[in-house]
Amino acid sequence: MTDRHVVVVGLGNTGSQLAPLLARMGDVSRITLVDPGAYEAANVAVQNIEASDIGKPKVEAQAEKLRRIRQDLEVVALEQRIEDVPRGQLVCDLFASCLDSKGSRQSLNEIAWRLNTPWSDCGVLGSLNLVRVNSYVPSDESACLECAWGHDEYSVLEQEYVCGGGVASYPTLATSALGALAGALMAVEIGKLLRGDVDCSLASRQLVMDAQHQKLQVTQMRKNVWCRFDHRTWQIEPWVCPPETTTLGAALNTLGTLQVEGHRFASDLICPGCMKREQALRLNRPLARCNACNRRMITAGFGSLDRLDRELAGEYVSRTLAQVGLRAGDIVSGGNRHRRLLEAA
Amino acid sequence: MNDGELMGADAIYESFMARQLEEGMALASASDILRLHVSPKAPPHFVAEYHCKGLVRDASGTVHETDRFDLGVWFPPDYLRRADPFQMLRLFTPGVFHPNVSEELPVICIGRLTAGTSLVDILYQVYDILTYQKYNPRENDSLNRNACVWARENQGRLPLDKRPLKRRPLNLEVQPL
Repeated sequence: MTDRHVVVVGLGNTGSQLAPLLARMGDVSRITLVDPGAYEAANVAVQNIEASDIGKPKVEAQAEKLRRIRQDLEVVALEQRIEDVPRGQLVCDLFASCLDSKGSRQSLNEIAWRLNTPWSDCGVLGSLNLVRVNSYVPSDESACLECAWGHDEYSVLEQEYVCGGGVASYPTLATSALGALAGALMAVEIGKLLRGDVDCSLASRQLVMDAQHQKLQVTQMRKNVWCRFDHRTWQIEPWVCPPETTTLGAALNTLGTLQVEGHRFASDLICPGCMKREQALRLNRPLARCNACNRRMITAGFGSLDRLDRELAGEYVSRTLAQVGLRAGDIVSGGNRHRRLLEAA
Repeated sequence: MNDGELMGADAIYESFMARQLEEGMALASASDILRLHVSPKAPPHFVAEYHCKGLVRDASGTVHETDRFDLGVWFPPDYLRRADPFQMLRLFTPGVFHPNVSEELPVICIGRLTAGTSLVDILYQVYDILTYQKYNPRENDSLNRNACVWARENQGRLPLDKRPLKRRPLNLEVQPL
């Protein structure tokens, strides 16, 4: 098979190593790069970049590199958090996760399952010279990322506190060599999955390479009946519904209720630092921050809504979907149906 | 699994919520301080009444002791997977004077809130804050800097209420005369 599309999420230590390897695979014709960050001077020592990349958005720097490697490769650069990208823009043959955030991995697991798309995930631990690669192929019986999670994993998810501060992701302290090792193992794994060679892949398995002591360990993973994730895959229908011209009321007439998984609607946002107030219904994506003091804005009372109906949408029914924060490619849910917003047929 | 099928995760959430109700009510019935109400319409799911000593600032600007606080708690559908403290707790009592509570907004900061933390744990944490058994001493990320300064200068008066949230049985054996 050729014309395969891979979405690479995270372009740091491992992602910067993996992306050029994918560009050299003949069966990959399209790569989408997702990362909200920019390269810093300190990254040159541990990531596959050059001094001239410093200050550039990671997705732009890597896209330039991939186009230099292969001119016929289609490269899409999305300078956003994976959580904020409309899921319809992520329809692909495989996700490659090179993330250092546990919360973003959790979101990618959810996205991959909803889109019924395999994903591979890698991680490195510099202090122990460890490399890890996992693959997940959605099915009734297969394990997902959260199947292996217990209370401890959920308790170290990144979090921001209302009164400032919070817990961020931990640095992996990995060398460029360890990132290259993880990137190479991921590329081999992705090649197998793209060719349909699932039996030889790491689907529902985890490979750990201990480069310190030259040991390999493969662990079988099973679906956990107590998994907190619902493992649902979605049948997604295309829906010509241009967000710039379709009103919220018109969309609600068709859907009954409207939900965009992974995000909530907010109608009254307040900054706990300077008390600045923003009153307008919007999908809270990306999470609103105060222009003046950059603190995360909060909703007054219990002002967050998982889904809208005509009553909750109230006076905003005449606003367009774009005005309330929806974008082409968003997957909107109403009842048990899921529709991908299209600009045109 | 296809969309629409009954999934384990839904049953796990429902069972979690049933347990929160049971444990929360058990705590309230064993407490002289706490009353717990179930809200008929979510959010909030629960409204907790604390009858304990804490501080409020009234309209004239005077800080004084009070003995009643109301808190709303909401457990979003994905609470067992990710917790967002920005959305789960609201203090309905206005003007609460505490470093972890905004005087202008109905928000209280209890710090880290792990996905799946039980209602009972949350109720204990909020009680510790309201009574000044716990407070954030750092002015730069406090929700009320004046309360922060006050707490630092009045440490000897804290906590304002030392009673345990749950009544402690004395287990006295009384010998017949």
